[in-house]
Order: sequence, then structure tokens, then C-alpha cells
Amino acid sequence: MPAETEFVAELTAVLAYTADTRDVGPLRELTEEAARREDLSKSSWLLAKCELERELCRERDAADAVMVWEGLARHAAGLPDEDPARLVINTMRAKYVKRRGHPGDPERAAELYRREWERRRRLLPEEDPRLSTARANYAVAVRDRGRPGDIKEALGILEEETKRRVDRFGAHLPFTWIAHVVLAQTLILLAEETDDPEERRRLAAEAADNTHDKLTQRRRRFGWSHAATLRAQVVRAHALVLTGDLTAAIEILDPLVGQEKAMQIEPGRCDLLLARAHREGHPVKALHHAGTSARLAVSVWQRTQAEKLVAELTVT
Amino acid sequence: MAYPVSQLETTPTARWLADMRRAKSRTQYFHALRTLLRDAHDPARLPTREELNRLTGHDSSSTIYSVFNQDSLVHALDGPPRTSRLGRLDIVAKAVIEAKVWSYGEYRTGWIKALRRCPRWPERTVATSLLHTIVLWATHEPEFAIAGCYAPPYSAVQDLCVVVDGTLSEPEAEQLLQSVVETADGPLGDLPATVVDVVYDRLLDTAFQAPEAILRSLEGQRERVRDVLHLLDRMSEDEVGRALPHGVSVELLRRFAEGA
Repeated sequence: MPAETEFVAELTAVLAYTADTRDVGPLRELTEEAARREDLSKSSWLLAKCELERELCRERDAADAVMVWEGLARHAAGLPDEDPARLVINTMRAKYVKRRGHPGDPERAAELYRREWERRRRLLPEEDPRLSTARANYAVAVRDRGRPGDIKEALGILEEETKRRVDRFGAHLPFTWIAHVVLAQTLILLAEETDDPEERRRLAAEAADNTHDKLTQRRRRFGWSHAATLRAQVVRAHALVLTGDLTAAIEILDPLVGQEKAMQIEPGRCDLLLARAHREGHPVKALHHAGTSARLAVSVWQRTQAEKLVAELTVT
Repeated sequence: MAYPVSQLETTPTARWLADMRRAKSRTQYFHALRTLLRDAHDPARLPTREELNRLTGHDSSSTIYSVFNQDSLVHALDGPPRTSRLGRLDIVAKAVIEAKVWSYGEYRTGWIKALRRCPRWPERTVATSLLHTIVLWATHEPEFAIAGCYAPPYSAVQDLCVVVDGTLSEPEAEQLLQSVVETADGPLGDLPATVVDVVYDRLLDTAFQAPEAILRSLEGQRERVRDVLHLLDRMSEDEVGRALPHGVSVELLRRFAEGA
């Protein structure tokens, strides 16, 4: 099927272009052409459509994105389970259900990710990296579900997954670094939950270890301003705030303030970490950052943390 | 401006492929090769001449020689060292080299269409998009990818040399692509971007970080800087001060534009 092969090759190259330039024009054009062509399978068109929607959903409201992926899931209903477009659709639907913020969504997202992980376990060999991705996605969904014991369960899966990636694929790949950073985030969440200062320091130190050389590697591979590089820096800074390495944390965070949208993290997250880092040394700076963080917060956790700091610092 | 593909259309392998597309006997052998490689217990072992002749229905053992010695890819390739190295290979190994180029043909056409379609290709992305395409070929044509010690299609080797504007020699480009093909044969093959990550540093170190590559890239900016200088010359000192980034002077731009 020459037309099919040529199309998938063109799509592959256009995706490499889109990833580096964030210009979705050619991908949109290619997808529209594919919809009109009669010499292409539904699977090929749907794959292009999924890749286009994946890009467009970066700028969409999560609730709208859920509707897009549910619509695509209906389109894909007749395709086999292992069709590449179906794998994308299942994952993306779960991702935006998790972000949507409706009551019950975290539960549903964890369930969707669990189903996808099980589906891939049925379809793919044990060493397939797409199975690794589904396993890590499921762990993060469990972590963010918020039931008692969820973070510890997620941590167990992520520790195993990180080790698996290091052993199987090598420590030098971004695919492995992602696992380290997600593991570090999870260790930080557990550290934030614990009342035992020694345990908190131990967990945070482990999180810092998991991000130690990842920043240099990320900067070298993706450049300083890449969203994933910036996010990894915030994770490392958070770990350093908890271990008490405040100067190093401030050095990382200062240039990142206000860039949360580019990093795709909660607005005001860097301000909250800076407020905590400055709390003892510069209470005035700390109060300013805490106020900003409280004003911008979306999550209950961040708002509560920031408001608590504002209250403490105002009394002082 | 889309990537200029004219140089890619005139590489020796590209011309050879365009000429042989309608060569029926050759493609018959390629299909037979694919089948025999697919059915082999050891994918690294090449089929014998006899096996190929049997499957293609040729009684005479000399047919394969007459098919592959005529208009062969080896003759189409430039440069004595390569010609002599390939010249020493047996006829089945030569057929495998050609089959790789032939089986990669549609993938290459798709890649070139993408180069034409997209308007603003960063140089590095042209190279990485080629690597992505090779991963796709290797995972869809595993028989040809594995055969001959994971050697990449020669057309891709020459394309990569064009894309990096000669900063890689053909043997260097071949080695780099060979790593891509070999990695794609493992579990990472289903994540093309991760396969590319495996050789990314090597690609940058050898092809893009070479001093001559940086110099060429800067040379390419001279005309634009001259254009900006033309505008700056018409502006007041105050306006120029506001227009230029901190630390950049008209003098600095002029020295760069004039090649000092």
C-alpha cells in the first residue's frame, strides 16, 4: 500500500517538525487532506487526527478536551484494540478526565488508566515501552486520586518502573529521566504529608537525588526554556526547600517565577516555594510571594499552604 | 520557506531508485528476499542464490548475476573506496543493499513530501525527522532492517550527508543510522522519539556542533543582518538605542555583516 506507507512516513516527519516548532499548520493541513482521500485507511486518518488534537488540546479547556477525546473514541470503536490511534485516544481521554476537575473525575481517571494498563498488558510484550508509559500513567493517577494510602501505592509502582527503565533502556534516555522526575514528585508529596521531620528530610533528599543530574541532561537535550526542563527544575527546587538547601532552591526558582503557564503547572507554584524558602531569611519577600501564590492558586492544597504562610507572616 | 529538496533528488541513490522502479526482475527478487528473510530461523543469515532462484522461478543460476550486475547500485555510488568495498560483496549481499533502498523508497517519498509541506524547518529537525523516518522503516520492514548487520538504506545515508551539508562523511552517517536501525529493532522501536534520543548527542556532536557547521549557520544570517543595518542607518541614535538588545551595538552588527 504505497499511499498508506507514504502517508504515515509524511505524518511521522511532520510530527517531528511540529514537536520542534509548535507550528501545527502543516499537521492540520495533512489531516484535512487525509479526511478527503479515498486511498487511506480510517486508521491512518484517525492517527493523524489524534496527533492534531493532541497538539490543539494543549490550549483547550480540559472539559472541552474530554469531549474531543470521547468523540474520537466513538470514531475508533470499530478499530482493533492494538490500533495505534486507539492507544492514543484511551490515554488522552484519561489524561483530560483527570485534569477536568469534576467531582469523581480523579476516581474515573485512575480507573481509565488502570483499564488502559491492563489492555496493554494483554496486547503488548512485557518489554514494550508503551506498557511502561501506561504503568507510570496509572501510578500518577492513583497518586493524584487522594485516597488514604494512594501516594504510597503509587510510590511502589514508580520505584519499580524507574528501576525497570534504568535496567532495560539505560539511564541516559529522556524516557528514563521522566520516570525519575515523576518519582521525585511523588516522594515530595509523601514528604509534605509526613509529620516526622527526619522522615520528611529523608524523602526529600531521595527526591533531590532523583533530579540531581537530570537538570543538566535536560538542558543539554531540550534547551533551557523547554517546558519539561523548567518543570524538572521546579521539582528539584521543591525537594531542596524540604531538605533546607534554601539558597540553591532560590537560585533555581527566581528566574522561573511567572512561567508556570509555559511549564503547564499550577500558577503561583514557584511563588509558594519561594515564600517557603525566604520565610526565615527574608519575611517581607516571603509574604509577597505567599500572597501572589494564594491569589493565583487553583488547587486547595496550594491555596491552603499559601494562605497559612500569609497568616503566619502577617502576625510576625 | 520549505526545505529545498532539489539536492536530495539528485543523489546517486535517488537517481538509481528513480531509474530502476520499473525493473520487474529486480523487484521480483526483492519480494523473494523479503519472504526468505521473514521465514528464516536466523534473521541475520542471508538466503542463498539457489533459494532466491527457486522462489523467483529462475532455473539458471546465472540469472541473479545478470539481473543485479546490470545497472547496479554499486556502480551508481560515487567514490572509489565505497565502490571497491561494495564491489567485493557477493551477489546476494549486493541484492540486500539494493532491497533496503527499494523498500525504503515510499518512506523516503513521504519524508520529502513533509519537507516540502512544512514552511520553517530548523536544520536539526530536518535531520531528526530523517531519523524518525528510518525508525518507521525499520519497524515496518524488520527483515530488511536486520539483514546485513542493520545497515541503513544507502539513500538515507546520502540524504543525511546532504541535510548536514557535508559535516558528516558517508561512513559516519552510515554508522549513525546503523545505530538507529539496530535500536529500532529492540523494544524502543515503538517509541521513535526515544530511538532518536539514543543517537541525538552523537548527531549534534558530529554534525551540528562542528565549528564549520556553526560558522555556516552564522554565515547564513549575514544577509539578514545587512538588511537590519540598512534600516538602522535610517534611524535616529535614540531609536537605534531602543531597537537593539542590551549589549548589541551597530558597530558589532556591522563587523558581523561584513565578515570581519
